[in-house]
Amino acid sequence: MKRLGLVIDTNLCIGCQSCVVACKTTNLRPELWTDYDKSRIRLESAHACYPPTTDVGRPPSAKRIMATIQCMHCDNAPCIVACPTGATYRRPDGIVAIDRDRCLGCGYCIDACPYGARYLDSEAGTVDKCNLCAELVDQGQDPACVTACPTGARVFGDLNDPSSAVSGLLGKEAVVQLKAQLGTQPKVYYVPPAGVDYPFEELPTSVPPQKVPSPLVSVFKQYLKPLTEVAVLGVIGLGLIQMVKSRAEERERRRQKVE
Amino acid sequence: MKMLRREFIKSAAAAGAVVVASTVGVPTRRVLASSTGGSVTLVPSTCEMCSVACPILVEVVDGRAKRIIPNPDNPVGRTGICARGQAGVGLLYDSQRLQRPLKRVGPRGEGKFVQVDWEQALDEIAGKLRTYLDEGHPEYLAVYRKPGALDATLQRFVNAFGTPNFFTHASTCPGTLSVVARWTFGTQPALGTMYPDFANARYIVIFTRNYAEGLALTRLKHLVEAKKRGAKIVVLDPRLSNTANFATEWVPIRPGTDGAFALGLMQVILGRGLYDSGFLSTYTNAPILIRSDNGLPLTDADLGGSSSSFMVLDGASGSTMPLGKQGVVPKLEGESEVILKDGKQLLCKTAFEYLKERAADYPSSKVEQICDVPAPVIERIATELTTVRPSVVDDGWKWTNWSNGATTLRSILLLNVLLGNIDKKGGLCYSKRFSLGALPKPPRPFPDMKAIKVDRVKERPVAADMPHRLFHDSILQGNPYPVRALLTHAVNPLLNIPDAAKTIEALNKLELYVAVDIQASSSAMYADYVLPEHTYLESRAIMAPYMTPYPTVSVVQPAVEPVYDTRPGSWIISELAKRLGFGDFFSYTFEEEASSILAPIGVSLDGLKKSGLYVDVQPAERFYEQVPYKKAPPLPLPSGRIELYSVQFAMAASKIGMGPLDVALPNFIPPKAAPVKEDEFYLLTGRSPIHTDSSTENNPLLNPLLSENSLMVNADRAKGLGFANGDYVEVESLTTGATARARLCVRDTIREDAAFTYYGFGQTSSYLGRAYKKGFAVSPLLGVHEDPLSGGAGLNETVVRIRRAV
Repeated sequence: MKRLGLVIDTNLCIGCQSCVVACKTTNLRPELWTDYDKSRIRLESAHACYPPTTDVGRPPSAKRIMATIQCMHCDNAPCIVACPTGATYRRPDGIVAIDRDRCLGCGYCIDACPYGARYLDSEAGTVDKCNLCAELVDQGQDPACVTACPTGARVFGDLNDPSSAVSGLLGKEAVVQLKAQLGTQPKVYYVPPAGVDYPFEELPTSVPPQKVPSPLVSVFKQYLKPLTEVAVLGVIGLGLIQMVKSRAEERERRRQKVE
Repeated sequence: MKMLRREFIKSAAAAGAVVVASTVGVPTRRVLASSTGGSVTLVPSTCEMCSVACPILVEVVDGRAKRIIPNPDNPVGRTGICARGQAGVGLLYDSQRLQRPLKRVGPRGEGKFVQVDWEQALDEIAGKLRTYLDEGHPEYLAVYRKPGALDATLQRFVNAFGTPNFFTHASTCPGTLSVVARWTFGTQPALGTMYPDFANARYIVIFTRNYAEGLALTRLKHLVEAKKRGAKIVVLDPRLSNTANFATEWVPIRPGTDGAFALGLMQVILGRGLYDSGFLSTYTNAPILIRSDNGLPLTDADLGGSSSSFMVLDGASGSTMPLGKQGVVPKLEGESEVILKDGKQLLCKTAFEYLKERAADYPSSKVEQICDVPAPVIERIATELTTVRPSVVDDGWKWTNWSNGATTLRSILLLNVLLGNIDKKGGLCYSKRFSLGALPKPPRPFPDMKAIKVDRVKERPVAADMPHRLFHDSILQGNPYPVRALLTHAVNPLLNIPDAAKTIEALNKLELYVAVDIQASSSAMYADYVLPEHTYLESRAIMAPYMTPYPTVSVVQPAVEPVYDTRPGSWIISELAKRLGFGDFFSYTFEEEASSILAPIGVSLDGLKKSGLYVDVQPAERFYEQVPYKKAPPLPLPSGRIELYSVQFAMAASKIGMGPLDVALPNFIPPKAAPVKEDEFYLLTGRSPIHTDSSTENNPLLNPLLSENSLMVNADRAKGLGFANGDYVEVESLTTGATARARLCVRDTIREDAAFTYYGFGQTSSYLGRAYKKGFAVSPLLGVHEDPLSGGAGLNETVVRIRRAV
């Protein structure tokens, strides 16, 4: 079974935002292009001031942290837990995707994601986020951001395949996951900036504290939903039984009448 | 009742089934495929979102250009494309693009236009232009353009019209580089004539060039390869640019002092004998004898001989011989007392001796003071440059930022010459180019051109194009004579020429201003006619991209039908020509044009349309050690050799009011101005990777990523002045007196004497709604501090004063 993931080398990232534009033209309709917040990917802390404001250290050994934030395709995804309809789900190959037909646009998942990876497409009434360009991946291509990156900072592949480029990087470099202490088990890894004393794993810096979904959501999904299904099946079943019974009774009555 | 109950149960069952289905997790998802269900074509073409001209594929879905991806058949870096390159689809369908020809109806600058049809616009323009031909003054028309696909066509137009006033933006960008490369390496005045072989270098020094933001993708990719292979990359820049950040080491050098740093390196290299003496004596004019009385080369004629040959000292006999004489291996070092033809005795030394004397003036202790870089750093970099091989010093790009740009770049290029890395693996190579054909032969000779181009002035004998003089001297003041009509193509003079107040005055004086463009720029608000051209996604051309090391030719072909009522640039020019009586110069089809251009290399247009590009990826033995070793000697230079001592500059010295040794040899001439008071800064400008010049700030894809510029200043300095991040300040130029309102961006990663901002903002065209009045323009603030050699405008020598805005 595949486990698709990404490795992003912050030492090769030059903050050119080619990946951001690639994602927009590949995945978003033009009406969404002019809104900075309607994006599946962003260059961390670049909106307030370009270049990004994460300059660390004193000259001449100062460094600028260059990293993109997008869905981490977590193996323990809080968004999947939060979603009341099951619209957010994990594909067998590990990609966390959204079924736009099922999504209600309730936004629980946006609140639950510690990376701020999701946004509400208000016009469509659904939530959107990176899906590793699943449509392209299913055709054997790389995600658009990977193809576009001019420095080769983004590497995509199967984490379960020891001969893949991503596995190679995981073996060779001191890769990290962002906010790993939350236990989300991201499948997007970063090669942190070399020679910089900075808590890189605590990125992104600008996401509001995650809202853990009300326990009622889990109660609903774990218990109420199955109960409701059982109840509905039960009602239908009883109804069918009742139908069969009353037919039989009706036939019996008719027979008795004829006799 | 039974029926009702049955129906109810049926529908309840159905409803139940749906409820069951959707709650037990059976996905009814629809694959959100952007390109399913329609016809998809991939059209190979060439990007024109900047001048680097990368090869692209345009993905067209159901007749609509959906997105742009890199052409994987590009042998020089298969992956990668930048944000602007992909934003072409944003430009193509932007309703704020020019859709129809415009004719001005209000005063210049107010942006009041009416839409007219092509016939009317072209008839009226040609009618006006004809008056200059009838009066016998074709030189009153100037054409100012950004070099690109339309260049050859525009050149033919000005030739046929009979005006010499054909301009590029040289003095505000690459003019210094093309002049200095021309007179050092003998390259034709063009762009990208030399290529630093980053991919094979182990040590790279870059002075101020910003590859990671002013993206030149081919070179950037090679820089990435170098970094991946563990090469050490040193970037000198007054601020931590994204390139300095990408590099191994950032040297925060004082603005405008790169020339002194280069001489400091040279002093170490020469002092320790770490130069390639064989290369210098065989392939450069380092051995030529220079007269100690006037600093000019000694010639055979000076000694009473018959030729004008330069003279050298013969290694074997020690006597004075003409350069290039058979069997003579010239001495690199040495001096000689010669007898001139008038009998006088004169001491002459080799150019190399004079270079050593010059460099000796720049010990690291002195350079430390000039550049504000510690002496040990200077010495370490010099040592590394000579011991970590192959090593290369980047040739840079925008040396017109400083009035000392030409002498600075001479010093920098000569570092490579001293290392002997010219055209060698990992060194500074000559770019290899196809010898492409020209446009189909003109049907008759061009008219005689009697007038001189307005910027060809006595005091600037070796300068490149100086468009700032076109506007401020000729158009505005009639000096040397008044250009009265202006045709621009893909340039925005109001933003790109310094001292914008003067440029506005000049534009107001014009009798005719025609802007050919894709968008109605700030400058176009002053035009009489704005003619909308096709974007590259709708047009056709053959291009010779210049930012690559290998001979390359590529095609631009339409991906979609024209979106608006625009026309190809070549059609616009040809239609004007017809109305002016020389349409016969443009009577070829595009196929004939392509055929003529491609004929010498045997590539077909059809083949090019399929592949997008053709690159002669020369193997090492065919690429390296060609020039000047196997090819080109003598080089088209006064000495026929790479010029350590620039004879051309020496000859120009008296006209520019300097001594020959000041300009013939590497030299450091301090900037003419410097920040002195506590609220004064140099105003440095540069590019971001999001935008190209001033042409993309309105693009729907790019605008949200960087919609306005801010003024970046040093945090300690700002604190001392009482400013905080995000404060609004008034910026006043001490050169032009103009002021601007800017938002501060306060950082540690910029020197205290520098203020930096991205170029291209502060646009004043009401047609470009997203960019309109966002940020501030630098052109009113930047002044002209002319480089006497190259004519470069010396933009960043501008000092500004910052105070709190009201």
